[in-house]
Amino acid sequence: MNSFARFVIKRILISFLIIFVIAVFIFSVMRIMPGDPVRVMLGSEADPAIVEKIREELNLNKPIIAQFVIWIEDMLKGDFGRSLILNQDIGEMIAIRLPVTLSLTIPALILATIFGIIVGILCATYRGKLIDQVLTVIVATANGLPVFWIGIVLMYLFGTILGWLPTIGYANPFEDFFGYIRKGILPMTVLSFRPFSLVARQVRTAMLEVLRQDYIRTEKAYGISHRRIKYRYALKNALIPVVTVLALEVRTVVGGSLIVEQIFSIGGMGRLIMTSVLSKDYLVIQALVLVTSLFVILCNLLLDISYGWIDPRIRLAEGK
Amino acid sequence: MKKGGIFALLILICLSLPAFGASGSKKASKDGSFVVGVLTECSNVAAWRLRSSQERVAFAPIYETLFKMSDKGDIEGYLAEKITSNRDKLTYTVTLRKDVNFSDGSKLDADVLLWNFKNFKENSQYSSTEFGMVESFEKADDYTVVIRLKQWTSQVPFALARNAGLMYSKKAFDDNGYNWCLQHPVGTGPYVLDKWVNDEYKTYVRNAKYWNKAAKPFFNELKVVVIGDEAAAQNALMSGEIDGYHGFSSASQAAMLKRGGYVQYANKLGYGVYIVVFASDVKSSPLSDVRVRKAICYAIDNATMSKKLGFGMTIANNQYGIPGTKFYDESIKGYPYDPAKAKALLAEAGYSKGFTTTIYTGNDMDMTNWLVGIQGYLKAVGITLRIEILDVAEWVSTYMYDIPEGMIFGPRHSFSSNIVNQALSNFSFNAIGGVGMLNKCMLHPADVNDALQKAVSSDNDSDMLSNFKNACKLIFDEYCLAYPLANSSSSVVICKDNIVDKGCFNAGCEFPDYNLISRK
Repeated sequence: MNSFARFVIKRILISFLIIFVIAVFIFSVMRIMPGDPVRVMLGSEADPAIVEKIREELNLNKPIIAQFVIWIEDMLKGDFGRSLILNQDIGEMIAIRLPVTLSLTIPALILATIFGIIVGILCATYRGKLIDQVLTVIVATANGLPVFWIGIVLMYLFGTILGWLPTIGYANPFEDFFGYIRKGILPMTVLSFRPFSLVARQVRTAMLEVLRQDYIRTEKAYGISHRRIKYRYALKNALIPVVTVLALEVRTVVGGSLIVEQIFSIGGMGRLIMTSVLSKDYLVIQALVLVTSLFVILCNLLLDISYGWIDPRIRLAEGK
Repeated sequence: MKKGGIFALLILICLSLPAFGASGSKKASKDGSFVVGVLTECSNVAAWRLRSSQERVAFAPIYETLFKMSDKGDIEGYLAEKITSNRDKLTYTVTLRKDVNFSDGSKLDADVLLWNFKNFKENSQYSSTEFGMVESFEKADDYTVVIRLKQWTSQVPFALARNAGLMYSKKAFDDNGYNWCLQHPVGTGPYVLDKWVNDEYKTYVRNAKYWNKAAKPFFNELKVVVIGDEAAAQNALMSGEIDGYHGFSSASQAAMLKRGGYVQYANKLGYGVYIVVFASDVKSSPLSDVRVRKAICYAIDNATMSKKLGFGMTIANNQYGIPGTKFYDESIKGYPYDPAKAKALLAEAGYSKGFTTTIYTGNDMDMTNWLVGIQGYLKAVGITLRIEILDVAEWVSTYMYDIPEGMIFGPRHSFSSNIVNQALSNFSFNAIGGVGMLNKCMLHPADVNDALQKAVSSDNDSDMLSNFKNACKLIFDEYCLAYPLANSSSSVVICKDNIVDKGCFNAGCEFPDYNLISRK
């Protein structure tokens, strides 16, 4: 077995271990959290006999270990169970809501990357000049502003004052692409603020670093045009760390979707997590945390593997 | 050139926004549809499971009740023609109209009514509150059902104007099963559910088989949108994407009304009370001394709190009954703000140096503001108040059951026509059974229990009111079991001023009648 295969297998095994630890953790947290899910489901006025009947049906009277084993067995069979509050199949709920969240978060990351790179290049190119200073302030502000505040302000400006954009709702891009763009602009913009600022700062710093390297000086000495040096050589090398930033920002964007979906009334994963936590719909929370963790772990796994593939020194170092 | 390109791109993006929005925000509420926002998504769909006021707003287009409450609190026939009672035989007899059908075409007859009653008693979380006294149901003829009681209660007609009177299609249940019904509303109402995107919106279209030919619903379509953030809801209302919003806090209601162009439509009988309940079940607690409880009440200036924290949306009060309604009792004295008297009572009870206690409430910013106010007032008389804010799940499962030493702050603890039942659940011996507040509390005096039991078993309105008022006098003035600070309407919709409400939200009935709302 070559070093790359060993590296990949090791990474996958570690990922499985992390997933198991998360499963144990989230299951334990849900049991420790105060509040009775059946009371939340039926209301505080519910008849105690009915409460007891539902507790039996949901296996809540069984020992914790038995409940955990039942849950894991069901999960392995692909059965996430039914929501206590909404009485819907959790697998179906995730299948409906995950695409909604992805259809906002992925374009948000793409937008952040494109504008972040453009702004980063501009800042590096015009280092110390007015445009650099102005853009640096904008980037720093974008990084510091809370997501909910940006959301409300943009909503007020573009929805209420100018009346250009709808402030609530979502449209499926495959059913109504124009509606999807119209309703999605604001949430996507809000979600892209933080990754945009990080990408812009990363590109600016990396570009300036690369432009100071000896090989760039050599290329200048060979008479290669400034433009070619900047875009062909400097930018290419400066973009490698951006991939790292983006992979790490996946979790930020997923986290941000909790707030953005709440503000813009979008029925995605973020909103489902929010309502499930508030109503202690523990089966839904367990499933959602696991699915979200899987998504983030998968992104990190791909990032690790790509590093090992791009740079042999990493997998060799791990092998030792 | 490069800079020019970038600026041109930015300008293009900005210019394209209005183009995207051209068919957007302001077109959401066309003349043929009414769009109302609600704070949270519905957890319950089936008629017998409905619980929150949001659920009533969302499913009132589909479900209708056997009886309705008039604005004065009188019971009026709707799906049922009449209800008659026989106290000696412990029965109520419900007679249905003969022309009612569900949206699936099935008839509402005695068999369907019987099934609805039995199903409610067996599966509703309100079973013990609404049908706790019911022994059995039996069909008398094709359109008549007799309700047999274990013990007399005057509250059955009121129950049938609320959840217990909502009718669900038995045919839909038989064809599809219990679990299907928990997700699919099938009723007799003027609209049917067209599309439901969970956590986003529900759309409704007119029920082509609607039985009530006299009703003239104005809107062809309804839409209920879930907007979980108040600021977002204000924006949506101002941008015209919604026509009304249910779920604003008092502050937001006041802000919207002050802005102009909006009106408040509220339930005329349904009120929530901001109430401090002395829930302690610990004998050594200072709260077990009535003088201490009264001192706490005298120490709090509820009139000022209502004015400042209620933003004009609350009424300072000293009882459950609302001024102007038949439940209000002018002879209840309450506890006008008097810190000197509070200190004197504390000294008399042996607490001149004060003491420390705890108050529990749910996670609600509005409630937190009130509690901070109470904390300040109590500090002034030497009482240190710890505030325990519980998250929603913990609060719902705790506040009526497991509070140790201390007090509960009821979050707009709501009531309407069930005001007598509410008091019975909380303060009578019934509470010890476990379905009301204070089931672990020591404070259930026998004379309060007697008065409430008499009120609920009265066979006429005047006896019921007289016993209820007597019980309230004991609860609030004599034993000081709780301290009501203020009341606010339990169901308020802020609408644009072009919406005309002739009895939808602005009515005595808990379930909005969407036949009675229109646009100017």
